Amino acid sequence: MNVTQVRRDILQDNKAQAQNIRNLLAKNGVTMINVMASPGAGKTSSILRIIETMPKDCSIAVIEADIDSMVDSIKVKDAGAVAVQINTGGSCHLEIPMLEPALDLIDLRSTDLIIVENIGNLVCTAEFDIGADANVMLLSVPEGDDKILKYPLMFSICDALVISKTDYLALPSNDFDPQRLTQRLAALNPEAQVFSTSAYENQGFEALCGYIRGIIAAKAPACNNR
Amino acid sequence: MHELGVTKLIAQTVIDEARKVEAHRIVEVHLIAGAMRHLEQEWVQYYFDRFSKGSVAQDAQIVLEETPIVNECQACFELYSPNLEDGHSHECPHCKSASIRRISGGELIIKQIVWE
Repeated sequence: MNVTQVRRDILQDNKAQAQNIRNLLAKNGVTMINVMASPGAGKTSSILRIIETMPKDCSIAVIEADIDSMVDSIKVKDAGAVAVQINTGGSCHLEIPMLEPALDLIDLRSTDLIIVENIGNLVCTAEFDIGADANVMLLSVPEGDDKILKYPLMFSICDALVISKTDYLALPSNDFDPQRLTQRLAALNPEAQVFSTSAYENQGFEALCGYIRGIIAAKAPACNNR
Repeated sequence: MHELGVTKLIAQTVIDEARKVEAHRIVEVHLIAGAMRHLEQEWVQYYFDRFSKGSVAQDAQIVLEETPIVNECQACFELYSPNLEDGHSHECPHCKSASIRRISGGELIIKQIVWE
């Protein structure tokens, strides 16, 4: 019997693939954000509000990843953005080999922002880096502020946490405590920025889009005055 | 059940390492997984058996070591494991500083392989 100390990061190949994607996007001056959340947290509604709120000369493409169906990409096209649908055929998360063919369908040179709507899942989507500039996680008020106790990895890898469906905070049945959530988040991921939005009331998207514009501006200075 | 995706990578990595050392058979695979990964040894073994079938890693035993979430206070450099349920997990328990850095809890590493 032999023992070999390997000390190898299992995700190192994934990280290398993600870096290749970042290099490709950087070369073309494109920003990509990875939107992750549970099913029903409001990912598509929020993306539609982002498209509406971002400056009109910001060229946006959306990659919609779903196990099945085209409903989300149809909504995005109707909103005026370029939409590419990926049906993962059962896979519960997006990986780079699935993303690459979708990127091939987008004219990167004329695109400023790619929004990837990952599959509704708080576990597996957090495990795979897809090469985005920012991981944006949505947690809707009806899901409860305790989700961070159950899915800490997702909260630990997000660059921005968006508390969505804040219109529900006003309901008498509400027990969601944003402060309790943000304190717990600070223990796991002190760098994460926190936003609050309601797609229903169209609240909070100016601040969220300001954050996205900041990432675009840092990456593509030519777009700075947008 | 979410172990499927990462276990595929574990099996690929182990088979790759087996090739490097020219192993005939992998006997044990020792993994280090941070607590945030929520990996269950039973499920990792189940999927590993499927992904390693017919390879040198077939029948290898998975040994999973879970490492806790550990934060380092940036003011006094105290190390602590935050208890997210106590309401003060964002503060250093020693000096109460909120300037902290997480240093472990998300890792996923093949520590060692035992082989013949």
